[in-house]
Amino acid sequence: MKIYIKYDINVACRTILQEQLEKLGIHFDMNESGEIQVLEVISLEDNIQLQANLKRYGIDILSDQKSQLIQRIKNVIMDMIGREKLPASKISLYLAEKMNMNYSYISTLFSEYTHSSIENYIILQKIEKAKKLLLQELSLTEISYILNYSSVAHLSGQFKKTTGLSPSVFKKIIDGRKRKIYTT
Amino acid sequence: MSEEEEKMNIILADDDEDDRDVFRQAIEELGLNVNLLTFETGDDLLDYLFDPEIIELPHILFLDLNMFCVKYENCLNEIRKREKLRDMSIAIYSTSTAEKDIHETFIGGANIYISKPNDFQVLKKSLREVLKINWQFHTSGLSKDTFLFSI
Repeated sequence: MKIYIKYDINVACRTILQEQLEKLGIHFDMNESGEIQVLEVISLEDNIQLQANLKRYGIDILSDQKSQLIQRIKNVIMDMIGREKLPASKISLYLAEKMNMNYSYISTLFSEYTHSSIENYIILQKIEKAKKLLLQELSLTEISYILNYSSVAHLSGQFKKTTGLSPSVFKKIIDGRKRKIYTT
Repeated sequence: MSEEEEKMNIILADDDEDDRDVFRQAIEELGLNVNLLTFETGDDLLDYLFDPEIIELPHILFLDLNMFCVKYENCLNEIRKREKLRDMSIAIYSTSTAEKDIHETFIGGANIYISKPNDFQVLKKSLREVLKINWQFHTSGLSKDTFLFSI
């Protein structure tokens, strides 16, 4: 026996989306063009579940999960560098463990979406912290210890490479700006 | 909106037409998702930036060190005085590589100093570096107060 069907792809899609979101108890609004506005923060577990459920219908959530992941990677890095002393373990191992993910996956994803490699991002963040410490009058020896640089030369070299300026010139400029603000 | 979809807004202010063309070409060849707006005079630039109607400010402004202004005395100074423009990075480019000039430009409030290269490929490479690092500052909430980059 043959049956003939007629269907409206828009209605089908909207219904699937509605059912799947409701299944996970996610509150949302859907407009005419099918844009979905989620009214709360979705947990990572729910997000992965939703993505998997929708995948069966050939529906993909666009990049949003990836941007969330990128943000988490950044948070882990910032948290790590924000500590009093950087952890002694290798940063790739530390990240993989904290994210509970394969490092090469994290690293590829990061480069793909941020215009920067994860290594460069970490260096940038470390140099940002070095700037802060420098302005708090810490010596380069102290700063290289805190940030796990093998030597002052290594720290200075990376500082120069990242900013184009040596640490002492950097400090002079910032001090010069402060004086300018006071005197004008 | 995710980072890779967000457009980078760039402004270039340079009174030399050839330099503007070269700059535009270099930016285009980088293949980034960019909006480029150009100005020929410092006055036009500042009138634009100070217009209260403007909602979308550029992520970065490339400004020729010797940009000519009539209405305003010093472009860099005027911009840095405005609270509304605090988050906008300013890249000054100049043919001078004298340390004194670099120093003074930074103290005057620039974030980036580019020594104008004569070679097109070098210019492209410098611009790529500048845009990359500026994007990191923009998307990662890093402090613009201590953002200095010399290339």
